[in-house]
Amino acid sequence: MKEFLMLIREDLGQYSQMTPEEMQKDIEQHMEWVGKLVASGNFKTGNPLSPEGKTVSGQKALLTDGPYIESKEGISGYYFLLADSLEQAAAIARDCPSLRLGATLELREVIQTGEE
Amino acid sequence: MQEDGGIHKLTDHLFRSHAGQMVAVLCRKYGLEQLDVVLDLVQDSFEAALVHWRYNPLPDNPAAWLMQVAKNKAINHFKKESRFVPADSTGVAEQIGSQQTFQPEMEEAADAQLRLLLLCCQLDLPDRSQVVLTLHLLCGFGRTEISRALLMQAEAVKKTLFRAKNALKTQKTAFSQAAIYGEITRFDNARTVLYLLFNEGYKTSKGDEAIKYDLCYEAIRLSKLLLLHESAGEAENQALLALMFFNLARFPARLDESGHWCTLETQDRSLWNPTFIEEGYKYLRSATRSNLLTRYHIEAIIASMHCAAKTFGDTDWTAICYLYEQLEKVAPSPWVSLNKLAATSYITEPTECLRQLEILKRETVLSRNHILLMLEGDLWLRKNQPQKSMEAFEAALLVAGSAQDKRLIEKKLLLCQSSNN
Repeated sequence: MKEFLMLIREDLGQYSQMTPEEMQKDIEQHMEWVGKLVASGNFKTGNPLSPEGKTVSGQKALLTDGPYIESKEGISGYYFLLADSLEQAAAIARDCPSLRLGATLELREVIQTGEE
Repeated sequence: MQEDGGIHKLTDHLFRSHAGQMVAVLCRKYGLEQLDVVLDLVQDSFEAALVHWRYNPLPDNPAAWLMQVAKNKAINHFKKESRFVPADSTGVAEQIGSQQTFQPEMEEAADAQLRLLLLCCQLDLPDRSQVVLTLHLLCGFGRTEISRALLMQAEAVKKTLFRAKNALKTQKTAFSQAAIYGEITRFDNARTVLYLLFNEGYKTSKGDEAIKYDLCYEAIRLSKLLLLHESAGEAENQALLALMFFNLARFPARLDESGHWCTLETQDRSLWNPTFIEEGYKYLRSATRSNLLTRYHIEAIIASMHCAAKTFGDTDWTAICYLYEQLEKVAPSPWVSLNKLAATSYITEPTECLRQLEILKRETVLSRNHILLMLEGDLWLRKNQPQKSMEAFEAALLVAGSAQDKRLIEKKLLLCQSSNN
């Protein structure tokens, strides 16, 4: 199977608007989703990212705070998924519960350089 | 990383009930004047849980994890505010200094919730505002959820919460004061608010059923807190719980498949929940050990008699009428009288019932009430006067609020027309 990186991009401020019940439901949906992926062998790993960050850019290595400048959107976490094709990975991603909160998911195949 | 595919599961509504617990424990520690900070800290703790548990297996005890995170966040926050003097200064100073973890005892958490509940229900505010505040602080309901559950405008919820929180922050009783349990009226008020909370869930047919059920569930959870403190109206608390369980047992049968209101007569009794009926009897037995007979006792007994009847025809209306007479004495209201009359109508000649109904119409605010008018329509129909019956139903149709009530009345009207022909 091939390996895919799935980046979750969402409004990083929206958690503060969610009620305890909504957050519990969201967690349960994620647990169920990941549980299914583990059972079907499509899950490798995944982790959240802290909203704080720094950006280093350009030849002068310009340092700025935050992963973003204008937009509230940012990458909240990532998964490594296992799938036979980009299409299958995308089909898996379509069930990701973060979509219900308006997230955008980006899928990229990891090129296994070591195997060549 | 989650490898075990969710071996642990979250208990239903864990977050909601623990929101209340965390708010109560922190308010007790740092004082009600810190309420806004406390609410933010609790929200931050849930966000931390969200971020962690989406990806990682749950900790062995999610509730304890949440409480610990909230406490640590509080310690960090108040450490930064060095000039802050905690309301309960015994022991807090060291904890702030050493960041030592303090394990919440279950009793401590429950006691804090009970205190917060009693304080929320004793404010100089309309009952409904106290329901709103209780839902927000003790049940973790957000503004949108409150607006959905109580069918209030979002803006009205916001204003009500703002005022209620201010009233709570500025009220005089200190959180940890022993006197909190001393005043019996506090428990009376709490029962009134919880009874109202339950009925908000049970007695309305409009809106989302799931959240209505949650209201009933939360009312029961909080009513159980009242039992933690012995003496103060214990029998009354038991009776209130009995009443709630008997009613909750019938909850799934209240509406038919298309969401229309079902009267007791048309309810599918096989949908009644036997476990809840059993719970109702358990509390009723405890409630009736003393000689005290309060409105909750009488209402619980009436509800138990409905639950005991296998079919609508088996209902013991004579006993129920007698109980309503007693209820009229203990807690008189036009509604009780109307209920009594409805019960009476099953065992009394319609002519006599219509006479009593005229008195109710004349002497109470219920003259233009659709339930009264529907009863009138039924009584005329029984007297074989479909014309008068139709007039009553038509009047009822004009004043009925919900679409479901209107549909029920339209059905009755059709029935009249067919017997008129």
